[in-house]
Amino acid sequence: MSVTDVFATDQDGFPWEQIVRYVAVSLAALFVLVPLYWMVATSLKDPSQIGIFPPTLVPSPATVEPYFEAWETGPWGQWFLNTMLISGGSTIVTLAIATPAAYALARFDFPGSNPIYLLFLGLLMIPAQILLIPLYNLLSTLGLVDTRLGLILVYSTFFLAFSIFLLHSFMTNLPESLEEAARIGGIPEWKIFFQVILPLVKSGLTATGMLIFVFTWNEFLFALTFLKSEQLYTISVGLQSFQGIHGATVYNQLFAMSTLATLPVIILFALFSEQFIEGIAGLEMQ
Amino acid sequence: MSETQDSLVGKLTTDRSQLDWRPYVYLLPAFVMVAIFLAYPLVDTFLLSFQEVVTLGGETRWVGLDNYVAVVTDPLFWVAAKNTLIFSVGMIVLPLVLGLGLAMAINRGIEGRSFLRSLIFVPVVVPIVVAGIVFSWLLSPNGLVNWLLTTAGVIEEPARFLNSTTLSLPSVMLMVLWKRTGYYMVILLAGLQGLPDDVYEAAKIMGKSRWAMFRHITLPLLKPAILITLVLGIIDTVRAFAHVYVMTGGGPSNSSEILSTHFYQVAFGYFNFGKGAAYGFILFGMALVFSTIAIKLSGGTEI
Repeated sequence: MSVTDVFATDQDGFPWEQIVRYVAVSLAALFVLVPLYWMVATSLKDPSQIGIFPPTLVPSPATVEPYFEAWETGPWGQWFLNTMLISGGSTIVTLAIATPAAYALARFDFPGSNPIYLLFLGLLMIPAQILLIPLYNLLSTLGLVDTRLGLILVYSTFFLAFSIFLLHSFMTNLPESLEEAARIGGIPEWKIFFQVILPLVKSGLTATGMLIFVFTWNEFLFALTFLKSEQLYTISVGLQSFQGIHGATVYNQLFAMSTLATLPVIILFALFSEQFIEGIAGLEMQ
Repeated sequence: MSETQDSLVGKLTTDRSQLDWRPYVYLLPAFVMVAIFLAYPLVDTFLLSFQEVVTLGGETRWVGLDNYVAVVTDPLFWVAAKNTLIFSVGMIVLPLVLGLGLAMAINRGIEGRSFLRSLIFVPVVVPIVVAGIVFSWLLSPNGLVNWLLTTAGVIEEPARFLNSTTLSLPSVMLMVLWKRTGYYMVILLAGLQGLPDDVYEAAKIMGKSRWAMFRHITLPLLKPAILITLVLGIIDTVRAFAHVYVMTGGGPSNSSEILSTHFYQVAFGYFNFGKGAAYGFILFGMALVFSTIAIKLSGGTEI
């Protein structure tokens, strides 16, 4: 299956294995980077370099003008703010609800704990879009269609099961005697949760929070369906509508805004890549 | 052991009654949230799938299985189902094979392992809409891919990837491959790191070939991790929407229409809520059935 295994021979001394390894990884890195480079490069081109063939590989002259021009075409500032508020709000609400739930499932033996755990596992299997229609009706009834709060509540519910599992994995690893010691010491229940447990799973909270923030920042379908007025669009919906209106004519501007939309998640990832990846891998390994 | 210890400590410290109410209190907010925004809509959509909306005011009447029949007798449903099957190769098979190869390549004997892992993971965090827009541009008639292919002499005229009935779906799959390979690689890499070194040492001493080691040691031990990527892949294939919506909108002439974009068209394009609800449950059923098959085929898992 893997090229490495077919070609590698240690006997003849020639480092085939190392060569194949580095070639494969270099090709993968190239595949990852070219689209991102192309996005940033295109965002720095003036209109004379857009839509010409052969394309200019390096923008010359390079200009930041497209960023300013694109910014004038729509309420981009508002869209970024909306996305920030929705992602931030969803992260806070999800963590506030998932953390105590994960604590209950990880640290208590109680009737029904297993079925409840399995129930949450089952929730992960639901393709969320099948709930679009009833959720739309429900949000209308509650007056929450076309509001940021409505989307925050929906996101928080959808990422709840995921977050409970991730936090659960951080909490089960804590020593068993922790709460017992605290209880014998007469520390009240709420203080045990807030002052003993929470500080110990800080890295778990960070990893979970980052993941929720990035997932909600990138979400498209629900934002597209539930946010009707242009003033409330998230950045993804704004980008898609900009592409629909302006088409292929102003790709430099489209990519300027795409770059801005990607920057926050890339920065977050760069800062917390270890927690991020271990969060994903750890969750799936449970 | 911990159970008796717990209850013993419980009895020693306080005199509370048998049933410990604390975990239920901690779970309450999650229950309320799930009940309102998940369970209720799920039941609602299930009921709606047997009804037809007859007035603009939302009045409905019961129509039995009519909505389900309407979905499966819709020729477009089968076109979308076939396309989804092809699409799943891009969502599951290709990134899994590539991710496994890369995981094995960077697992041992390479400099900057954690940097490479992060780099290859980057596309996972890029917004799907941005990925779709960027690949649309890369694959456009005067885009980078056409320039490379014509310069290298592979094709003479620039191809219209996204406007071709044969190339539109593979074009979306290329973007999906870009987006998902790092995701699978990270999961499989975590699985590889759990494999014991001494097993390989023993196999080496016994003179086993690399292929034999891969086939008889790596693959079986990686089974749980591969199973997880399969199940995740199936669920995400059923969920995938923006992937197609942004790049091709399902076209041209439905050549890249997949089940979830067709579902969206039925429910929100034609506002056929009853048929849309039935469609949703068919999708749910598919996700369950295929995940179960994947688990059964791999002989279950002990994780």
